[in-house]
Amino acid sequence: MADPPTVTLGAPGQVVADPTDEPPGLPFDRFYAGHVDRVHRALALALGDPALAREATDEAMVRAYARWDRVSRLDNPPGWVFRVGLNWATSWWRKVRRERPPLADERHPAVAAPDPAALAARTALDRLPTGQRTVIVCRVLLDLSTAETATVLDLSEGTVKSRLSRGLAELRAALAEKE
Amino acid sequence: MDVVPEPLTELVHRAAATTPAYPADLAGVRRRWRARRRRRRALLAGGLVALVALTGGAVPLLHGRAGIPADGPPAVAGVSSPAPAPDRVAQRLVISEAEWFVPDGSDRPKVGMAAVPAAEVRPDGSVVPYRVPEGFHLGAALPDGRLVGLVHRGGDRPRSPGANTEKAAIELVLVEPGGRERRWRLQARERVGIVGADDRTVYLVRPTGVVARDLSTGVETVVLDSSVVGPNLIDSDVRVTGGRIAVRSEATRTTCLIDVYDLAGRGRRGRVETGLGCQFVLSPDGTSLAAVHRASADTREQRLGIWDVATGRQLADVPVGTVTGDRATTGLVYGLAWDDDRTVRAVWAQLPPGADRVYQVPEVMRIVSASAQ
Repeated sequence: MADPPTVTLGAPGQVVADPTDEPPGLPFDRFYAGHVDRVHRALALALGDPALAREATDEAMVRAYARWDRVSRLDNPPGWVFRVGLNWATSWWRKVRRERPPLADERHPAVAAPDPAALAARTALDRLPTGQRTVIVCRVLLDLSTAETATVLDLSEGTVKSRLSRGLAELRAALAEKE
Repeated sequence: MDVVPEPLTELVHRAAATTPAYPADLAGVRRRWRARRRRRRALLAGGLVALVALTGGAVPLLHGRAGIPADGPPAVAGVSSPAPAPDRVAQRLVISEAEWFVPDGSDRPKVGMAAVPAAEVRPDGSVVPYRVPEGFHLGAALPDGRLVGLVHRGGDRPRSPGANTEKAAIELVLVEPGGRERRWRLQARERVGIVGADDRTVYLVRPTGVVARDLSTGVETVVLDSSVVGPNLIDSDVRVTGGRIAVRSEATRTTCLIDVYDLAGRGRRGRVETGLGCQFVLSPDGTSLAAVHRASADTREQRLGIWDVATGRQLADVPVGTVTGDRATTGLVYGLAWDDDRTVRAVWAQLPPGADRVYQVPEVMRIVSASAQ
């Protein structure tokens, strides 16, 4: 057990609320229809593993459904779901991933997109350190502000800014190298 | 830089579009939730049965080793249990892991491994569960049998980005023999992890570095500044034992480098190079380091090794098991601890061939030992 068990803010709790009486406001099915694909793509990019991202999305959506009376009242439910999925994926796969580093071909997109620029960007993103990649995903794909990203990822705003800055610089350099 | 330039924004969106579309299945979400609710209720019922079965409080709940099925009732999350009695090992081998399942495409996976909230694996192979609070993240086992861990208070309340976090807290929890708890509230807005403990001190990793926190007074003292080993100390693997601190300083595709520092002199005392994916722990006197690792990048076999910290020389090497990407066949290291300054034990568990249900870890675990030569 070499990993320090870092506890992070915003981690999913264990209490399961009864969602049978959904509160007034955005119904879960509308939230699901409107956000599940975006959260899934964000997790796929952050985790670098589409299959794991799908499992994480499934898990996070079930947890959101179980707590929908409270999640629906949050300012940014997609951010919460993303964080829950990220936590779930990293906690389960932490050991396996440490013991089995991903092979180069496992980190490439699962589908061959007919968009060379997109594939180049995907490859460049995959090569970024996880922390930088996750910040970029939050800021760009989930459209979170610096403050929101800091809260979702349990980082200081300064760390978010520096990771974003370094990540974008490396991304730009990698893409320039490709060209 | 706080603004993402438009061309890069567009490229990130296009990169995201290379991921296959998510196969939305709202009915599946609802089915999974109902299945989970049924499973929790079944677990709760099992816990009550186990409570009734626990009469004297001094008999280990489970026995199992080397793949021999357990005789007792299944371990149940949150069940009240006898506290482990002190024994002669230098480091208590305590395991703690969440449940996991083998995906089968259904909403109710039937094969997997049950959760272990916290349990000690004794030298005789018996497994003694601890009673720990809900949401307890095990940090370290103290020599006297107490456990120290972290609990995120308010974690059951989803909070929004930007929401007031004043009411949220991370608590340091000391679980004493018999299940009594002591709690201290830690600063909520800062990441923190537990990297070691002895009878009087718990060692925490914070953004500032590794700090020693007196369990009596709560006074914290920085014992290793982050600047000594780099700014990402909190994201590294760190263990404190025997007046020394081991830090994984670098992990490449072929090796894992672990630096060992002296807490008193704060100087580096040695460097150990292991194979990939190292999970390590220092010996009680801090002179040796044990790690489970992959011996070669070409194999998925895990090995348990012991190294001399001063010279980096390997002193022991025994096979443990094989890691794969398939949950049905992969194994996991559940724990690693030294019995004394020469002998180390690792707990390895994986589902048996033809697994057809949810297994308790003691049913399928294997204990691997190595001794320094």
